[in-house]
Amino acid sequence: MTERTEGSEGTERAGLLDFPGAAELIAAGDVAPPRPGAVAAAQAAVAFAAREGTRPVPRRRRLLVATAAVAAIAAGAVAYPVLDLGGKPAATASASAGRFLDDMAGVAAGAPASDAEYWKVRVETDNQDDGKRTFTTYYARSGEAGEVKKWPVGEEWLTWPQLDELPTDEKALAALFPKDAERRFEQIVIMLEDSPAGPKLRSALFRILADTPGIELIGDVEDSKGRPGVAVEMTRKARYSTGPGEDVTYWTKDRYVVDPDTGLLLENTHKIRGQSLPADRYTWLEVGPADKPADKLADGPADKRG
Amino acid sequence: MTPDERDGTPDERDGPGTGGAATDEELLARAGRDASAFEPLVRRHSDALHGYFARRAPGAADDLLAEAWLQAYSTRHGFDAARGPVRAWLFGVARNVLSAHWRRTERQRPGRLGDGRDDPWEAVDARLDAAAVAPRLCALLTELPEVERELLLLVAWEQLTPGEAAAVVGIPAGTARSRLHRARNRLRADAPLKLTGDLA
Repeated sequence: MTERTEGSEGTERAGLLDFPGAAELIAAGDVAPPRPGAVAAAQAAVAFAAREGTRPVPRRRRLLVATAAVAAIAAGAVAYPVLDLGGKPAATASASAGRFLDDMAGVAAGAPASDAEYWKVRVETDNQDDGKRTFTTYYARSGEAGEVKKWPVGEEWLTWPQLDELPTDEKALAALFPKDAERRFEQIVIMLEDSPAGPKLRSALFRILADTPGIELIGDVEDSKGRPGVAVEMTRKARYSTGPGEDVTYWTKDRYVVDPDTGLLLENTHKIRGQSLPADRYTWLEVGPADKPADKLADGPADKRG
Repeated sequence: MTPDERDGTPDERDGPGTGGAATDEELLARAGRDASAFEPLVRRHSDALHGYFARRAPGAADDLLAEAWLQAYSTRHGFDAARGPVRAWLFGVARNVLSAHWRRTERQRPGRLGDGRDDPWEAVDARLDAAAVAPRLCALLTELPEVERELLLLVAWEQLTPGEAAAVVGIPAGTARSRLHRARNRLRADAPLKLTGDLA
């Protein structure tokens, strides 16, 4: 750290720090500078929040979205948003959810593999702060130009080529994800949502979910676009900061609607129980291989307000 | 925001070096309507804020840094220059983020349930221990009222002026000064007799 106090302020500081042992105390404050990745992650988070507009976005969701979408530019691991892990009694996976997710593992395994150079994601988001918006993004397998998306696996964030190197054996793969059921669920669904994971990998992800406690099968539903699907839910305790030093604890129900014919995720909603906090919705309109990007390579979400 | 504004840093748009030349206060004022003006602040102050977290919550510093910047960004309209410089305001945000983190993780820390404290003194204490700060000084610091201790560490470690430290903690500058002097006097009072030096 550089010395910045000067003149009378510096003198004042020196005077206040004139006591026995002060030098040792000051030296005890020496810390290494942050890893470049840590600062880059903070910059990415702010840049993303700036792009999202000036209205406040729920902190947890914002962090999640920001880090997942633009962690690209951060080298190394990005800390995962903090979730409260202590408040929920251990639940076991409902047998029916397990069976459904196992079925989806079979469906995913039979989906066609792709060696396309690009991956297209078109998603509609809706929340009380930003309203309805649609983002279309192309990611390049080569990762050469523009933004490279990464997906969280444990403490790591992996690029598309790195996803292809993940083990597709359920046990070996599960060992890479967090042990905590809620964090595991959250990371796995992020990968299932919009990643270019191949059929074997998607299948293994569904099998891990089938063994993850706390997931409930809701059953047949329609998503907000009227597409039929099957919903599963995870309820968990989370915290949200409403202002400096003010935390609100709430229960959130994360619902995922899965297309039973393809194993693709259609929609995700967060419902918050007992608090007047914003709920949000992510609807994946199109996720899949593309031969070439429509106009330009993903250089950030090309958004339009709906 | 127009697509134009989304692309490029303020440095690129306003000519090289603008972000570097503008004061924190100018940047923050501009960030009210031009979000990209906020980014130079992140570059400028991340090292200091990360240090603040690394000293007080070493395991969570990276995460808290991102959280503090998001918090600062979303509350940037609440900055009031009358209460102190941007730098002090940012440390105030960091302090709140740390305090929230501390309470959030309380149940994970054994033996501290319900003692009602929300300052990360334990981490600091461990740091002093590891740095071989004299046990006598550690004990004296532990006995200081929380606010005095915090002011002192902000001055010693974050190199804030007493006025800035006051703004961080949210008390008037004059009060902070008198508390800091009181803290220093306590740290001196129990010192072994100095045979040389001033008698003031």
